[in-house]
Amino acid sequence: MARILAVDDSASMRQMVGLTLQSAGHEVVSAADGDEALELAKIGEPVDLVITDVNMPNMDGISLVRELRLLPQYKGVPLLVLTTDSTTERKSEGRQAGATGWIVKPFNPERLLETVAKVLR
Amino acid sequence: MGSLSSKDLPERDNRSARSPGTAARPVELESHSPTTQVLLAAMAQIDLALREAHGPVAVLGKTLESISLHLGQLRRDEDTHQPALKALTAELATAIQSMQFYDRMFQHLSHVHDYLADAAEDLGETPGDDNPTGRWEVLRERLFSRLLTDGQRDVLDALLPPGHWQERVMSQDTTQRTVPGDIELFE
Repeated sequence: MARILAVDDSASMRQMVGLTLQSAGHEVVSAADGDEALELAKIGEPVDLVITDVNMPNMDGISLVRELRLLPQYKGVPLLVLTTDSTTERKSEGRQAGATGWIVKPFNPERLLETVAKVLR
Repeated sequence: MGSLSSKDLPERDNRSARSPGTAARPVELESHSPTTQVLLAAMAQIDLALREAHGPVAVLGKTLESISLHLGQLRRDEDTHQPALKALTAELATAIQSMQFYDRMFQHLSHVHDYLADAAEDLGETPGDDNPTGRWEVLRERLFSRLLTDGQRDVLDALLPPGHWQERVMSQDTTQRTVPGDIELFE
């Protein structure tokens, strides 16, 4: 099972993502914004996957993806964006920043787990 | 009216609507114009609704965690509980998906709250002028860009279409429809 970093400034969203991933046996660490996530990525144990919201204070999800891709240990790690924003422009920004995929909230837990399994393969 | 910043309605660690601070101190409505008073009263109601929802939703989240924990225990004896396990797992997934609508509502109301706060602030700065030049359009655009779903944007468009107060100067792309739960993997 994987170690997954879930990033969202909403406590309830972190909880729902955490519950979903833990139900499949994954270990979940969480951060409340991009800054905190980047700090964890730099000093914490490495993770197998990052799932991040976009609109967050301090550092948004797109910037987080961009920063993570600069870290050697995160070059090959899947980075999924989980957001209410589904505009083509934002998706394109995410893709260019280095995101692996884009998931629109509210997510379906089963589909999220399928996607996680797919990108972890 | 001054800054109405409150980054900390309880639910969100550091994201939220700017609060009128009604929970901490009463707003002196009499010093404002009637229009501003209406906006401040509406903001206070939204603020209260957001705060009141926090406790029960936190309890609901804990309950779901507890259910998930019990499910994990049942899975250890999977053969005996197979049908119940399957049903409970499906119900938990439904609950998790439904719970996210609270998060969406919170964001939605936060943006409307901010819209009202900006309008009240502008009206406070230009007393007697109930239509500060160009500002309504700016505030409307800001709200539009922050709304989360096509449904929310459609409602705003129906009531206040772009250019409502002035000549239409921009068009908004409403062809990109939001599909909740949509997943796209890049390459």
